[in-house]
Amino acid sequence: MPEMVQSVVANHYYLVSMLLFVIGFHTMLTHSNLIKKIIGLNIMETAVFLFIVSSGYVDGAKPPIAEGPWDRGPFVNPLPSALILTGIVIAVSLTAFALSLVIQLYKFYGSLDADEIARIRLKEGERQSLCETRQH
Amino acid sequence: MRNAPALVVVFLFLGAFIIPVAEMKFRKLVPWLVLTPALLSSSLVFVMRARVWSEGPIRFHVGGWAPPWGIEMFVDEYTTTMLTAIFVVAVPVLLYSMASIPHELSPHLTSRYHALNLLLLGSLCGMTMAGDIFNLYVFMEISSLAACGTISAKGSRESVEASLRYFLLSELGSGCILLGIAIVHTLTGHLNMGLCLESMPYAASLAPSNVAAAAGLVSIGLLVKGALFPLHIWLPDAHAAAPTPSSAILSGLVVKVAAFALWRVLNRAFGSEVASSLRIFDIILLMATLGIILGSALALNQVHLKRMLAFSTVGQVAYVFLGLGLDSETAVRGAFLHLINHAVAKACLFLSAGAIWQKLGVSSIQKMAGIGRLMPVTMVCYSLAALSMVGIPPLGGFTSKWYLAKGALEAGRPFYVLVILVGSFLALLYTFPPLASSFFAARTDFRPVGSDGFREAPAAMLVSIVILGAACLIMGMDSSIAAQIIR
Repeated sequence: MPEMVQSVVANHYYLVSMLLFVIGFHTMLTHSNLIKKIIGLNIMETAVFLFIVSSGYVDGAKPPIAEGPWDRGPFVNPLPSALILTGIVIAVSLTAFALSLVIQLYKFYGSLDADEIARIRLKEGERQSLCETRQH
Repeated sequence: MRNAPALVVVFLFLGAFIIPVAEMKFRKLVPWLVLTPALLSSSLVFVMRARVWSEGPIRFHVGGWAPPWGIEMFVDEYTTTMLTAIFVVAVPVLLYSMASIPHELSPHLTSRYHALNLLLLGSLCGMTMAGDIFNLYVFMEISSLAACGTISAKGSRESVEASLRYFLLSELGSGCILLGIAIVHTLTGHLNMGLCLESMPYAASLAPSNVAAAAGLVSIGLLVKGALFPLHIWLPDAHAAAPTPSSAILSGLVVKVAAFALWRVLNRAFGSEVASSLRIFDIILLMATLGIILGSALALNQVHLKRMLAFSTVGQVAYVFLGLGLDSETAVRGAFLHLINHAVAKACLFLSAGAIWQKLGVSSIQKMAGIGRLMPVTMVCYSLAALSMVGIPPLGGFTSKWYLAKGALEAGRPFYVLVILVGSFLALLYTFPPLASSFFAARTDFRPVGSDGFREAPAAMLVSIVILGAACLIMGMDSSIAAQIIR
């Protein structure tokens, strides 16, 4: 048992990021509120960023800036952080675009709820088909 | 010429960035700014094809930095085949969009739409040539943003809704892909596909479940983007609601590039041993079988022409996945051939549907009766493309389905020959009735939209439809082209 606790403590970054990923995924799939879906997307992406950044972390190491030729001391892996920089830019632009679409939808339907929007569309479809049958 | 792989992407992106600026002062230049980058890039692809054939794969190191640190672009004969497919479809579609977009979008949006189109094409080329998985992800995100942008360009309720649905599902997929990439990076320490492949057996022996998770996540993400059957739910709305040129590019290219990327990643980053030990190919085959039959069956009971074409894409892209999933030499080549044939045919179909809608205001299948007499050139090209998609002998689709069936037999799986035949029969059922009625049924109560008496679409649109229709015919008649493509 102590071994397991130890491995959990040692890998807590990974565990937390996986937990966050699943929370985000679940939010995106199950919530009908569009804003919550976008929040879920952000949680999901942040979880992956946390995962990548923590994979580059070395315990007790310095930032990867050599102070001179003599400086050989353990450095943190800089590549994951560089990847995340790109990832964050992508996530921000995705969020901005998604929010702009949601604003458009709100203007059309006056609702942010995907189920509610589907209901409104269904009702309109029924009304339309009723009109058509009356015309015939 | 050494920089050709990067320049293909750079030309298209430069065009996309210059257009919104040029629009303010030099509006008349915009058509040239759209077509010039596309033509320049396609000529570079032509040059690269010749070089790949004579000297083997090109590995281009961006900025001169070699792989463990630098970014690699990898071009082999499969890549050039995919790039050829992209430009064979893209150049006519861009030409078409010059004439059709002013009718479909409000004037202040047209140049931005063209910019988005170029951005989409550039990112597709980037996805095709990416030599490392992180760049694949970056280009994929650019492509899904640009694709969502073009889908929502009309600004109507349907298009915004379809765009948001596509966006949410494809981002769900992207999240999975990014997590998969992160796991691969922690396992192997590399992002370059070739280096990942080298250290994958060792990683798989150390942590088999992590490798399985990574491969599964990446596959699921790319299957969502490639719209393989149960994951296709975003496709019909998105492809039907987009402006016509975008429907052609989305149906013809975007889903195919995702299929190509999946095949690339499984073969070049994970290795076929990992993929086959996880039975990923078997799962793809099962989904493709369902997709071929149910996708075509769903296309049968559609009322609107563009929606029918979108559902038929679900069925046809499953053929590509079927070929890639069979994983035998001939079947993969057949898949690539089908990828080009279907891209050309479906682009032609969507463009003709757009032309019919623009000139006659007809968008439903039932009202197509008699159109063949009013717009003979468009409808002849439409029929060529439709029959090529079904797989009628002298046309392109027949060759590719032939190779797919041959590949299935060579892999010792004759069941899939039956699937291919049933799928073709269903495709015939949904394409033939509108074709027959459009030529043979008499109907005269059409009212052309617009005042000009000339019933065919404007020259630019007609020329691009004819080019694509002729391509369907040439691909089938001239077997040397097929042989070159799948050499």
